[in-house]
Amino acid sequence: MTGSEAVIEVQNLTQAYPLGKGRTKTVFKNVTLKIEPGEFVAFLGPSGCGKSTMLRLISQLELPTAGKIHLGLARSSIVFQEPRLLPWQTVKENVLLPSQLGKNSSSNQVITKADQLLKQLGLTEFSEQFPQALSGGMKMRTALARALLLSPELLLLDEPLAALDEQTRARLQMELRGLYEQSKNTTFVFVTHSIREACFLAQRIFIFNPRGEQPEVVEVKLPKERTTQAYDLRETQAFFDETKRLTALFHQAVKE
Amino acid sequence: MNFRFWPSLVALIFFLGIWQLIVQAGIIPSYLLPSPAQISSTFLDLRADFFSQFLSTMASTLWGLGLSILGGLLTALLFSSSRLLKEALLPFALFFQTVPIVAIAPLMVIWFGFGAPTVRASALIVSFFPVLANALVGLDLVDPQRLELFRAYKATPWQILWKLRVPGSLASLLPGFRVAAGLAVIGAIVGEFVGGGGLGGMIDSARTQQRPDIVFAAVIMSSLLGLILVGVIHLITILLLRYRPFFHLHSFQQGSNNL
Amino acid sequence: MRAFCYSLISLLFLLAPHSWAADSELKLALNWKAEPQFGGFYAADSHFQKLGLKVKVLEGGSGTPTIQMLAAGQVDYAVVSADEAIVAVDRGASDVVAIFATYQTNPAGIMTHAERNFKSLKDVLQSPGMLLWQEGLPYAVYLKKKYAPLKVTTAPDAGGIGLFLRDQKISQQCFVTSEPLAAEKAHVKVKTFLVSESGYNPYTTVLVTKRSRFEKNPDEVIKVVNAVRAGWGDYLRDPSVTNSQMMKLNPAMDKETFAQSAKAQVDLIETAETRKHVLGVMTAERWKTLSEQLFEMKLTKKKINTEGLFQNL
Repeated sequence: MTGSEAVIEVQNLTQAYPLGKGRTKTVFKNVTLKIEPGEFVAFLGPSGCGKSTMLRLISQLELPTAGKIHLGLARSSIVFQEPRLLPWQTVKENVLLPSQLGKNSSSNQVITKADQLLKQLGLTEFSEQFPQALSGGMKMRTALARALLLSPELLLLDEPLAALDEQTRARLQMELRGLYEQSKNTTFVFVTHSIREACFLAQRIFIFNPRGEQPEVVEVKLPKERTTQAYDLRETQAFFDETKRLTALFHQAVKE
Repeated sequence: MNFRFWPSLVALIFFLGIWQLIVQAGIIPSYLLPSPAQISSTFLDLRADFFSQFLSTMASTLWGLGLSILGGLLTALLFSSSRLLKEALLPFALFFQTVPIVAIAPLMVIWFGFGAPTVRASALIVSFFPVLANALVGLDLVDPQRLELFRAYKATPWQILWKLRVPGSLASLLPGFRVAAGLAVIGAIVGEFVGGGGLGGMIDSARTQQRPDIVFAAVIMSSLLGLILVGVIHLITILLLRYRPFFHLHSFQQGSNNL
Repeated sequence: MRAFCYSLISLLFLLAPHSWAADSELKLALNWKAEPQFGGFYAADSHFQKLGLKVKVLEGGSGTPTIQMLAAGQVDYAVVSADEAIVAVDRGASDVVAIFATYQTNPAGIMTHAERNFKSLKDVLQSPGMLLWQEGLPYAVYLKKKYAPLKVTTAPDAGGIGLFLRDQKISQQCFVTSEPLAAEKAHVKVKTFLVSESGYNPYTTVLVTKRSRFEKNPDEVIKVVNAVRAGWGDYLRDPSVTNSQMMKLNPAMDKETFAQSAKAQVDLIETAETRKHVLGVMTAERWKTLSEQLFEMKLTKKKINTEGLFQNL
C-alpha cells in the first residue's frame, strides 16, 4: 500500500560537526532517501555511521548542515534507548505525559487510549506503580505506550532494545512487530546494529556505512505477517537463510 | 536492641561524666565552667523562663525561615525564567551569603525596631541564600535526556519548568531547607542579642550577671531548637518521598538513574 | 676546665635577667577601650618603670570578662566594677582583692532628651517612652526594683547613640563621661541623671588582683597601686599627653571628646574623701552597703562578707 506522497523524503542531506581547530567530522554527505507511509524500515549499521543521527534529524531534534527533510505528515513520536520515564509519576501518568505537553490536553478519549495501550503491552497491573519498581523491559514497554498515546503516524525508535537482556529483547521484538501489524498504517523507523533484529522487524533496511556515503537499501524477503502464534518465525530455516543473505550484503556494504 | 544511637549515647554519657568530674574536683572552677549537674539544676529552676523564651525564639525562627523559603523559591523561579534578571540580581543575592550578621544586627534594630521584627529579619537574612542557591542548582540540574524528551514532545518552557525542572529540583531543595533551618536559628539568636527577647536575650542578660550556667543551658536549648527544625524538615522529606519518589534519599546520583 | 665553667655560669647570669623580665611582665586588663576612664592607668607607665615594674595594659571591649580572666590566670591585674567583684565572689571566685577604686562616684547614668523635662530618675522610669539599657546589669535591677512599677518600655542597648539621637521618646544608659558628650556634639540637648543619686553607688573602674598574689608578693602589689595612684594624679592634672597616647589606640574618639570626657570625670574621681586620704581610697561601709544591696536584689545567693574583699594600700 503506497500512498501518493512519501511520508519522509530526505534530499541531499549532509550532516557535519565542527571539531574545533577548523576540522569537521562529516557523518554523511549528500544522502537521499524516501520512506513510504505504513512501512517498517530499519536503519542498520555499525556504531558511528550516522543511523541515529539520521533519525534525530528526522525527529527535528537536530538541524541538518545541508539539504532538506520533508515530512509528509504531522504527528511523529520517538522512543529512545533509555526509557526516560519520570520517576515521580506512575506508569499510567508517564504514559499520559504527551497529552500534557505542547498544545495537547488530557481528555477522556486520551485516558481510554492509555488504558488500551497499557492492556496491549501487559502493563495494566503496574499502572499505579512508580518506574523504580519496574524491570528494564517493563520500563521500555511504558516508553512505547507513551510514544503511541497520541496515535502518531510516524514512530521513530532509536535502538530501544539495545540495553535489555536477550530474553526480554526477543519478547519485545515480537510485541513491537505485533504493534506494527495491528496498527493502521503507522510508519515505523527503527535504528539498530543487529542484523537479525532488522531482518525480523523491517521490510526494508537502509544500511549505513562508515564512509558517510549513500546507504544501501535492501528488501527483506519475509512475509508480511510475522507474529503468528503457531511458531516463532525466528526459529525457521527461511529466517535463518534470509539473515545469512543480509549479513553478506551488510559486510559488503560496510567495507571501509 | 537495634537502637542505632547506642555508640553516640555512650560517648555522650562518657563525655558528661568527665566534664562533671573535672568541675566537681575543682580542676576548673565552676564560675568559669559550670558542671552538667549545675546546668541541669539551673534549667529546672528556671524552666518556665527557658520554655517561654524557647518558644519565642522558635516563633521568630519559623517566621524568618518561612519567609526565606518563600522568598528564596520565588526568586529562584524568577531567575529561572529570566536570564537577564538572574545576571543582574544574583550578585546582590550573594550579599545575603557573605554579610556578617553580627555586624549589621545593630543597624537592623534601627530599620526594623526592637523585638520580633529584628529577630525575624535576622533569621531571614542568614537563611535566605542556601534556599536560593539550592533552588537554582536544582532547577538548572535537569536531566538532559528528559529535557530532550520534553523538547521532542514540543513542551513549552512553562511546561518544562513545572513538569520537569521543579519536581526534579526537590533533591537539591530539601537539603537546602535543612541548612537554612540551622542557620535561621543562629540568625534569630544573634538578632535577639540586639533586639532582645528569646534565648538570645537570656544569653546576653546572663552574661552581664556572670551566670555561665544560664548561658550554657540557653545554648543547649538553641541547639535543640535547631535539631528539632532539621528533624521536622527531614520528616517532611521522608513523607514527601513516600507520596512520590522524587529522588532517592541516599543516592548522590543526579540524572536518569536508569529510568 | 675551671675557666670554662666560670664563663658558662656568667653566661647564664647574663641571660637570666632577660628571662626574668619576660616572666615578670605584668598584664593589666581593662574592661573597655582606651578612654579617659582609664587615663591614669596609661599615665602610670613612667611610674611603673621608675619602680622597676613592667606592666602591659590590655584594652578590653564589649563584655570582656576581666574578673574571669584574672581568676583563670590569664592576667595579673584586672579592672572591674565593685558589684561585679562581689558577684564573682558569690559565684566562687573567692581569691579576689580590690586595691584601688578609681571612681568614687559611679559614672553610670541615664541620658534623656532635655526637651522631655524629666525631673528625676523616678520620673524617667515612671513615664511613658523607651529606655535602652542592659537589663541584666545590677544597676538596672536596682532601678527596676526601686521604681517599680515601670511605665517606660525597656529594650536592649546595643551600643552607640544612633537610636537615641533619632527619637525623643528614647532614653538610654550611659557613662556620664561618654555618651552625653557625644550627643551634645551631635547637637542634641540632653539631661543626664546619675544612677548613684538613687542610692546605688558601687566603686567603678576598680583595680583588683588575686588575694593570694597580694599575700605572697605584697611588695609588688603595693608598688602597682602607688604607680597607678601617681598616674591618676598626673592624669587629673594634665590629661593631654596621655590622651594623645590613648587616641592612637582608640581612633574612634576625637581629640576634643577625649578632652571633654577627661574633664567631666574629675569630680567623680577626686572627692572630699580622696582629698582627705588618697586617690582610690575605699571604705568598709560602702562595700558592705553594696553587698547588702546585691543580696537584696537576689543577684548574689548569699550575703558576701566584704571585709577581706578590699585593701587600702
